[in-house]
Amino acid sequence: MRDVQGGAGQGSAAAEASAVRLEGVGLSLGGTEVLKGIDLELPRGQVLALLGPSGCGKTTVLRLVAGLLAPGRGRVFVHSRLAAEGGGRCLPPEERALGMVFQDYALWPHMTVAGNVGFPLEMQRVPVALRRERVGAALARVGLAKFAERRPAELSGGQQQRVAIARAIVGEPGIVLFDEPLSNLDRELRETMVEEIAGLVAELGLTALYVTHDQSEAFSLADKVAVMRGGLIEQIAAPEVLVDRPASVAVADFLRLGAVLPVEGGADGWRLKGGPIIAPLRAAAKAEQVLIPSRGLGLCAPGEGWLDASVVRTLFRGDGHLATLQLDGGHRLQATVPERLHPGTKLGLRLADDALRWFSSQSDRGV
Amino acid sequence: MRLRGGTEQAVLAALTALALAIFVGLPFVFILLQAIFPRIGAGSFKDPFAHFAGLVSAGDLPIETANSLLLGVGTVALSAVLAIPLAALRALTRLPGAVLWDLLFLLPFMVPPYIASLGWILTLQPAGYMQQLCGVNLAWFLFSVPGIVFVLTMNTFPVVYFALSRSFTAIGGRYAEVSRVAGATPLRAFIRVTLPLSWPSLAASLLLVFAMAIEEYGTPAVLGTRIGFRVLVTGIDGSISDWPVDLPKAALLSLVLVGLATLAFFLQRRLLVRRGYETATGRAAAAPPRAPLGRWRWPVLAGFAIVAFLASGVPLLAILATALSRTISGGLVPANLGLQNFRAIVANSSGAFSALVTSLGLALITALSAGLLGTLTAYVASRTNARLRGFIELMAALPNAAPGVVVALGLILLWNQPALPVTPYNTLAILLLAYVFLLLPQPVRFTTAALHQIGPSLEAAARVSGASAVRTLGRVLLPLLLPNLLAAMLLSFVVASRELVASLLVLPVGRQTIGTFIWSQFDQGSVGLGMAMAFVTIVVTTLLPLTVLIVARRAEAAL
Repeated sequence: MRDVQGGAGQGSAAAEASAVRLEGVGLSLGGTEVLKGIDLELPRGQVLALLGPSGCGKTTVLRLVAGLLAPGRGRVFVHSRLAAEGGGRCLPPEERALGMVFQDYALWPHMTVAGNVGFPLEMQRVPVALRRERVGAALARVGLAKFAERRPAELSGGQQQRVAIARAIVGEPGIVLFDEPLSNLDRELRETMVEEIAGLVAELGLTALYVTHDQSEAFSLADKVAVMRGGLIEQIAAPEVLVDRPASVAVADFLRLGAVLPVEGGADGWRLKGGPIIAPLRAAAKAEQVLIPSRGLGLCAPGEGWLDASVVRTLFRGDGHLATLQLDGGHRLQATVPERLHPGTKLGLRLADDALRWFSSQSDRGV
Repeated sequence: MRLRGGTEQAVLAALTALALAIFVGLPFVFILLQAIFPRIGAGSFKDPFAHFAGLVSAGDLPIETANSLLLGVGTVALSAVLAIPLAALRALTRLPGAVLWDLLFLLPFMVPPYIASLGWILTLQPAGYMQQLCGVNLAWFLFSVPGIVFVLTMNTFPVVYFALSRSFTAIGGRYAEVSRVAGATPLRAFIRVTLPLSWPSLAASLLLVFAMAIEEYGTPAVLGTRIGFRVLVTGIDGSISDWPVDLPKAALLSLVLVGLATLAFFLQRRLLVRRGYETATGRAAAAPPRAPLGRWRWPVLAGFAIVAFLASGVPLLAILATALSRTISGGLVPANLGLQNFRAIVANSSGAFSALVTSLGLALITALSAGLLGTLTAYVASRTNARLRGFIELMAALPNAAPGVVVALGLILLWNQPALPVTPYNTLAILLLAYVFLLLPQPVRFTTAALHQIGPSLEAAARVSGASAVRTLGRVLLPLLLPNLLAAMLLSFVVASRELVASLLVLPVGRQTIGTFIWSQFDQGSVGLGMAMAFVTIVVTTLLPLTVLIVARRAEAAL
């Protein structure tokens, strides 16, 4: 795990400063190892996104932090307190002072909107008058002040999720957990909601753990993104770092950063397997695969650029044409081109210096 | 598409409507007529409503209605008190042996309440098994209103237990979890979220218990008569079978009973149609995080064991012990035990074996007839635009609120008319008519549910491929309905094979069914022989359907 803040060696003293901290957390459910040793830290006032395909364990991490699951091993700190220890005590959810937003909203259908939002305050025994005031303020913040007496079922999906967000922030919990909050909404609404959540996070200075499988959501909202796969964290880094320096083929693949192709080293430099030379030997010490990032690619006349390619097909994508290109040796990659190109057209590719990322399959990590 | 399809469907609808009119409609019309015109039996429409005032002022009608309500409400209350905590513990905690408890709580469904009542009498009566084992008897409790409520509750609370534990599991997972994160303790989450959200399924199951309690004959008959506690069902039975026969009174009491049952049925239907909150999000609910019981483990297990022992252990053991006893007075000693009661059944002593064959045969024919008629009814109601649809739906709904005693009265009134050239009365066919009437709702409900899940495009594809409406029904729909239909027919078979009150009232001379055999043996014959029959019946009606289901599943897997 590169770019991880705070290595494992620093001990629990570091937990003092952090809102959430996981140390070597592992968990097996029904004989399957769901988490294989997770270390992460979320400093106060920051947003950490957990990004990965379904089944990678990201929701499990969130449920461990919420107290809805207990870790099999390792330690979970919430609000700088030891909240759970593998095989030991586990603080129940209601004693962790958290807010949480669920994918399916999980609004209680037998309570009004105000009843739903006021519930955490009721549990904190906030007096009725003050509760009403704070519920009103929370609903106003998500733009639903007029809906207090409605039933959740009368609201649209986006409105329901705003109510759920109001419920999560009304108790000023300090930490808000988001479990794929936008994946039930359609695309336009999702984009609006990302902006709204970003606004709330900034205004309220929220500390948030945000689970999603949508990279644009993660990149828009998070200070740091943890890419997860198969119960492990592949990489934790700022979004820009992830895109520029993916730590493994898996990260590059999942983020769809470009073509990952096999390479072999020779006397005259690194070449694509059975294909052209792409870089001098000094570019990498040891590598079996290379990432050719889409965003570094440019077009030029054949023979003038870095490599030559021929067009297999182009698909119109609204904001450009997505071209599938074939290199010598049969390797394929994709690039966005400004106009429709006929199959068989020859062209040249340009690439920014140092844009290539090298991976050695032994560790499956960047070098 | 050929025009013939429309004709075929119309013919099918007409035939179904005709069958329903004869099986269900006419008996009901005769109860109505008899209730309004007291002299209809003599072919006269004179003096309508003449007997109303007398019945109300004589007190029978209001007292029996009040007693039925008392029995219903009492059973509902005790079932709720018992089932809510058990279901909550089952659904929300790590209860050891959870599946075993579920199986034990299924057992009461296999023991009809009148047989369970006989088991309780054998246990609690003076010199009964309890006195032999502990030295005291509880006859004073058993033969009392609380005693009747208790015996009925032991038979009905599993309905609430299963409905609630399913509902608690669904809601405890999603909605209760959120309230925990929002700061609620487990108890508050249960009271504020899980329990209120389970309200529809709680109310629906309690209404079902209410209907079961007011429609029950055997338990109030055997336990209540001795203390002069008459409910509507036993009142109707008395008006038909005790001298002087008073058919107008029986008809009027029937209408009150059907009215109450209809009310319960429609309220329950409304609750279920609006649907619980369990499936509100449309996704399969995750199992809730089950809390460890800790030091409550043993008290909780003891509670489950006591309830299971009372609900099925006591009646079943009492029945078995009596069946194995040479004489009742011999008591529970090894020298008094033997298999001669079971041998007597095989030897057809007192017509035991004939009764067994009669009931199982009738139950089989009932299952097939009700299955056929029920499937046609469901098909016509949900798939055609026949003008008769409204009538057919009404006819299909009626039996839901008609207890056995009312069905028997309707059949007596209809088929006893002296003007009829032929009548099934006093033959086994009248029993078949009664059973089909009573059990029609099962196949209708099961196949309607299945039809709703079969997309209309499957039929459209068959029609476009050239199949007629009837061929589509036979080749496409029926195979898809078969698993549900089979389940409904098995249920009908089980209930019909041990039906009691309708059988008692319309039994042809010289014939016996399982129910009437057990009943009369307990009353005035050999109790041991009756209980051996009860035990054999419970075993047969449990194992036979199970075997059929297992074979059917094997066959399906082999296809």
